[in-house]
This record gives sequence, C-alpha cells and structure tokens, in this order.
Amino acid sequence: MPNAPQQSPFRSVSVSLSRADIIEFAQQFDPQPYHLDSEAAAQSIFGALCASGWQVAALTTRLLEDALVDEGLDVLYTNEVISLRWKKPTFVDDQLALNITLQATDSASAPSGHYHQTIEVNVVNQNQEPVAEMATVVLVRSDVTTSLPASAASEGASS
Amino acid sequence: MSELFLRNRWFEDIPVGEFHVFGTHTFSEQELVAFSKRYAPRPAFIDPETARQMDQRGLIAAPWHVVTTWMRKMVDYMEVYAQGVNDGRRNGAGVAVSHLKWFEPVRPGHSITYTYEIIDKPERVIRGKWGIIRSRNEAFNQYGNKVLSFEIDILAERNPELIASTP
Repeated sequence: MPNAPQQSPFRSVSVSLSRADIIEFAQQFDPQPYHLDSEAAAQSIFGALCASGWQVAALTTRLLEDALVDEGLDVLYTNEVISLRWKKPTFVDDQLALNITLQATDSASAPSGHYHQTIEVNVVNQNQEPVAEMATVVLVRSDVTTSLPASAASEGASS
Repeated sequence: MSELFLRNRWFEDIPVGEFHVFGTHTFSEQELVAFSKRYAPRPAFIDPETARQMDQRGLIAAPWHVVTTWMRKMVDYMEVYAQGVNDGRRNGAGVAVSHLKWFEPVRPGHSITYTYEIIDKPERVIRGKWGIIRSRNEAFNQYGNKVLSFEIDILAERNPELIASTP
C-alpha cells in the first residue's frame, strides 16, 4: 500500500476567474459568443458571460494537483478522466474551490515504484453550489529512488 | 432551400454515425509553456532543461492543452458550416465528458489531427427543449498514433413541433 494520506475529503485553495481571464481563454480555445460577449451571453442558455467549461476543467486539475502535492503526494501527471460533468456555469469573479476525496489506489497498473490514485472531485462556488464533478486518475511516485522507465513514459505509463 | 448546415440542424436531423475531421494543429514550444504556466505549472510542462532530465525526455504538453485545442478546432470547423445562420446557435453547450484518456505525450512541433464521430443520441429531453448528442473524439499525431480519446455529450435543440406532437 503506497503512502496514501487520509481518506476523508479535504479542500483545495479557492480561485476566481476575472472577466479578462475568461475572455482571454475563450479567444484562444473556445471562441463562442457566451464566453466572449456579455450581450450575446445574456441571450444564451447561460444567461450571462461565463467561463468555458474547458477552462474550469483545466483549472480543476491544477487546483487538484497542487492540493495533492500539499498533502505530500509526489504527483507526476493526470492519466485519465473517468467522468466530468458540468453542473453550473462559472461567472465572472465566482470563487471556485474543490472538495477532494481520495479513492482506490492501484499499483498493478502503474510502472514499478508508482501507483494510480483515483480521486473524486466536487467543484463548488462561493455559494457552495456544485459547479462540476470529476472522477480522475493521477500517476503518483511512491518510491523516490525509482524513476519511471523511459518506455513507460513514452507510452503514457500504460503498463 | 432545404439544405441543412451542421450548426442549424435540429436534434432530430443529426444522424448517429456522422464523422468529421476537424483539422490539424501544430503545437509550438512557446504555446505549450504559455498554457502550462497558467494551468499546469510543473517542471515537466514548463521547464525544457529540467524536462530533458526527466523520464519523459523533454518538454511535453499539459494534458488539458491537447483537449482545449480540440475545442478550438471544433469551433473553427463548425463556423465554416454556420454561414448564414441567423436564428441562433442551436447546437451548443457540453454537459458531460467520459472515458477521457491520454495515451502518448504531445511534444513541441507535433501535429495533432482531431476527429469526431456521433455515436449515440440518448432519448432524454432536457428542460423541455434540448436533446443530447454523444460523440467519440480522437486525436492522432503525425506518426498516426492515437494521443487522446474521449466521449462528450453536447446539447442540441429539439424541433419544437416534434416535441409538441409527442404525447
């Protein structure tokens, strides 16, 4: 059993996205009217300018990995997202934070000296409303003296 | 004019099995680092010198960067078919993703081609108005190796006349 920390949920730091953050991301990756323009957004399914769901997803993984490192896990990278569900739009200056629950670990599927950690993440806003739910798998180093075999690294650590 | 464009079709007009190639994007080192500084500020993704000493042997794209570029290629592709659409964008918001896996690293200079296939239309009406289009999306590098795969459910507006006639 790797050195997994406590199994009870813990919380990430919180962050917000400014209007400029939302528009900058949308211009590069998701240039749709409801992520770029307040008036167009008001007419849309979302009702107001909101962040791309992909910006929320990327931010979620950043907050998650930062929180896992703070908990003492030697995180390499995210391998897999089992499921991701967007529950509510993220509007300008909403404060997002993660409730994180560590679930199963599996070293049999990971390279020697590493394990896969499955994690359940609930993203909430400043009103504690659910914004997104994500079940994800990250690759963690359990033994600092063992490095990842080059072949496994180039194949996404699939064996 | 009965021609149906990809972006102004009702849910009922979108066929399972439809396949599209959204296009190809070549990732520069500069853009990889710019994205990762914001969303994945770890040595593997932002520091070429350190990354070269690591098992991955060089800088690689942050996993979400490969996915967010899929979104851009999809928007650009769909815009081509949205010419003349003046009644709103009926096909829109994503609601859920599943089976998302990254298989191989994307490195500076790699050219990634994105594909999209409609695999299912679950029989559900959301808020009395929307249906769900489920697609399988894949990305391949210039060697033909799959680097990414996922499924996504995207809302498409149902034909109000057909909803009204359903008991």
